[in-house]
Amino acid sequence: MFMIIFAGFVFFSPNVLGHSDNYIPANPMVTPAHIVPEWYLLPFYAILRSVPDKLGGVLLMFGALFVLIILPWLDTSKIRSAVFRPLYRQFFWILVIDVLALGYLGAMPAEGTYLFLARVSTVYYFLHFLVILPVLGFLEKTDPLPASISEPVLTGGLSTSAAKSDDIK
Amino acid sequence: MSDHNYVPESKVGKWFNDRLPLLSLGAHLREYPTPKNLNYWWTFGGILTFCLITQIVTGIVLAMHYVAHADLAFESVEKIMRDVNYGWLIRYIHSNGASMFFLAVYIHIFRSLFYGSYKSPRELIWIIGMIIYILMMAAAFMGYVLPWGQMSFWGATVITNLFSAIPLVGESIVTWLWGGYSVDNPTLNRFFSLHYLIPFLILGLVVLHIWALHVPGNNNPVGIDIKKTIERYGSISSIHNSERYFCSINVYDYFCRVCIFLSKCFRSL
Repeated sequence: MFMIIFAGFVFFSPNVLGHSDNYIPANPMVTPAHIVPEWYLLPFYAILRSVPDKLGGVLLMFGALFVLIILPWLDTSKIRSAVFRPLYRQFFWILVIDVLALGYLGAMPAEGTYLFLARVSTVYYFLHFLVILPVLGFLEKTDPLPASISEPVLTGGLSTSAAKSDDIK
Repeated sequence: MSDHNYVPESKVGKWFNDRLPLLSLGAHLREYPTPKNLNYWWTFGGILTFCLITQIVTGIVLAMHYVAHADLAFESVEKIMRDVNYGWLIRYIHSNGASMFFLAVYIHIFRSLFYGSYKSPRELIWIIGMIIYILMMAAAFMGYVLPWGQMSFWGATVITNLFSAIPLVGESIVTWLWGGYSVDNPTLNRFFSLHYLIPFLILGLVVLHIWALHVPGNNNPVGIDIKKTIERYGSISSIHNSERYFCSINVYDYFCRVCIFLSKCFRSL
């Protein structure tokens, strides 16, 4: 599957992920209209640009990586899998959308609505890791875990295993 | 790890293994048990290893033809695209490979976020992974500078200028990074050197990443610890099997879609 996507890009649209300006030789005298990094760095670029102060932006960009590094200690929930964490599951998808939004906004000019949305997304990114995750571990009511990894398969799905544990009570 | 008791059958093997336990390592890699409920998202570790190897191999070939000089870099890349046999293919695999590498790594990271793979006892795996990710960004950024196009040059200027935000020493650090008073030939040369170095650092960290993984074993979609040893059957080959399985289904699916798409295109002509 992955190889097909890979081959699809290499053979059908090898340049779509790059920037056309890079087929112009470097010229220190001419600045391109918009300087954008490659797509995979755009979320961090958006965070960088959402702060008016240069030093603040740099700190926040590295901070975005730092919260990921200390993540194991930010998440207070003992339950690993989001399958059994109904609230975290929703916040997870909001984070996915948030990062995708940051990626999109990083490619747009940093002005007007784009800048405002980038700021909102940046704030939410940090909110997710620094506030939502630690608090969620205490507040969330998680679904019952199965006794073993084969139970959901043998009893035909998670819902029945949960129902069964209710019966026992 | 479960295979400390591995004993090679032949005498020579035993002699060698007592001095350097390479054969034990091989036995471990052959028989490493994985949870039987792993899903498709658990194949991305293997996919990423493949990506890294691809980038290193194509990168070594590209470096044979590339010239790291401000006046010649752009020309040499054009030469790779036009004159070198299959140079266009190698370069496109390398440049798109970087994107695919990041696509896979983002899926890998969000897999970990969803299934809580970063939690105890797998914190170190996660942190090593994050260091790999940061090095990947550094390597990708420097690689993008090498063709010495407009976006290369100005991207390098913008990103290196970030360091000037550091109070007091910022400006001196930027000058030091550039090897001059602007992004120029010395900058290109050192970026090329580092771009060649970093993938091998990543490779070393990947070994640590897998080593740290093989101590507690894989997390799994249910996220609970595996109690009975019988649940940890199969081996690493089971992942490869599932990969092959998904692959064959998707090849067929993709092929059908492409055929339908093309037939529609031709009909509308």
